[in-house]
Amino acid sequence: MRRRGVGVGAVKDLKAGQEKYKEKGNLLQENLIDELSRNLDQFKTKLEAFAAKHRSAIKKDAKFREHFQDMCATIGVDPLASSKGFWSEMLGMGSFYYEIAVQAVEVVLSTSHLNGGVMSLGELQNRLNKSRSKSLKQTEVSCEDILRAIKSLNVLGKSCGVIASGKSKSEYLIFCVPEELSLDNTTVVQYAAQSGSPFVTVDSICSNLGWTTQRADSVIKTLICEGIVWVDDTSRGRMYWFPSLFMANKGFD
Amino acid sequence: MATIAAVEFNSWPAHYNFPPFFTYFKNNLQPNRETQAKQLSIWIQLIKDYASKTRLFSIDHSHPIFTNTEISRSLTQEGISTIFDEMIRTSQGEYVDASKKDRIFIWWQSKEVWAKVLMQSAEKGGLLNSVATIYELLNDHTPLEGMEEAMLVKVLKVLEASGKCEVMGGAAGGSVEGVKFFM
Repeated sequence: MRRRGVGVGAVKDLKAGQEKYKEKGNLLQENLIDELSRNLDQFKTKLEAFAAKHRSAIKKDAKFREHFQDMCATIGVDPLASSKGFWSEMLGMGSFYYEIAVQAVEVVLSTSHLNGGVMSLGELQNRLNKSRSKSLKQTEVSCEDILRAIKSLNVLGKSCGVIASGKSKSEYLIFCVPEELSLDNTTVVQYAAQSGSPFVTVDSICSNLGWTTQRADSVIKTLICEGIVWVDDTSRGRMYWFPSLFMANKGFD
Repeated sequence: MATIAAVEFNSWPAHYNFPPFFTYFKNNLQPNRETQAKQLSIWIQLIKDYASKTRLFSIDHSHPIFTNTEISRSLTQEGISTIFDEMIRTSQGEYVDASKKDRIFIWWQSKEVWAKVLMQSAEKGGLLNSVATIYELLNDHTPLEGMEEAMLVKVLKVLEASGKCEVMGGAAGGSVEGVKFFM
């Protein structure tokens, strides 16, 4: 029996063995990558075929649309990303969301004299679907649809956007204001939304955000100017109420 | 809701429970002009709706509508005056006594519309070419039932100016005794 281990020969053998393993390893890896690529391509083709076949369902049914979006996300495809290309041409998804974005902005702007151009996602969805249902061709949209649409409005800069207002995925405020909302302003709006009360005071802002009175005052001034808050003068000091938070489910008309 | 009224009024606007709705801020209501305009217009609409539902024809600063006990908020006197001023400016209100300025008539319909209503009612009631007393016009289930006499006189004057009636009495500070409606 040949002894293992010692000797130049043994070392050479070991090295050769390792080389072979490495080669095999690389080959396996290459094969794996190839296979993965092929799978992805196949998957993509199937997905495209699926999209084409179910185009009308995707347009009509929000839940179906949601699942479809998830599938696209897993293979790293964003149907909204390009205005040209197979996806938007095939599905018209580009213009679908563009349409929602425009309608959403219209709704928010139309009530800006009441809430300064800030509205909860739930209220926006209600109002949007109400007006869409009046036109027979238009389908109901989900909250996710609206969020996607607004987020794709990057062209408008920081005038339009979303603020996460709570712990759950569906709690958002949509804003559309003529002046860009600075980070400080959105921070206060977000703080108010997450606080559970539809109002803030200078004191509550300072103690919860660790700000100076001056900084809080400056934000309050902007929010008043934009009509995002209304002033409540009480004997215990001034409170600033957000119509958008107060009326989240009641529909200020 | 404010603790009011024999007649049920249920059309409170959503803003009635929104504390800032009751704020009078220095010389204005809300400091933001657009917001203030909205606040004013909702108040005026509320007063008109409330008045027409409960057949209220005049109002002053003490009316309970200006306080919402549920949210512990009240409009100040200045706030109420601002609303009254705006109603007067837009012909939806009129001082009962211009020297006192504490009470206003509420024109939830314009005088012209009331004049038409009165004329129609006169026709229906067979009053044309006959004389009716003020009492008759303001009672007995007419559409103007409950209207303050001074307001009726103003409505009659509008009708008279268009040649549809003739007011009797009322000259030299005397009270109006009756009115003759023409065919």
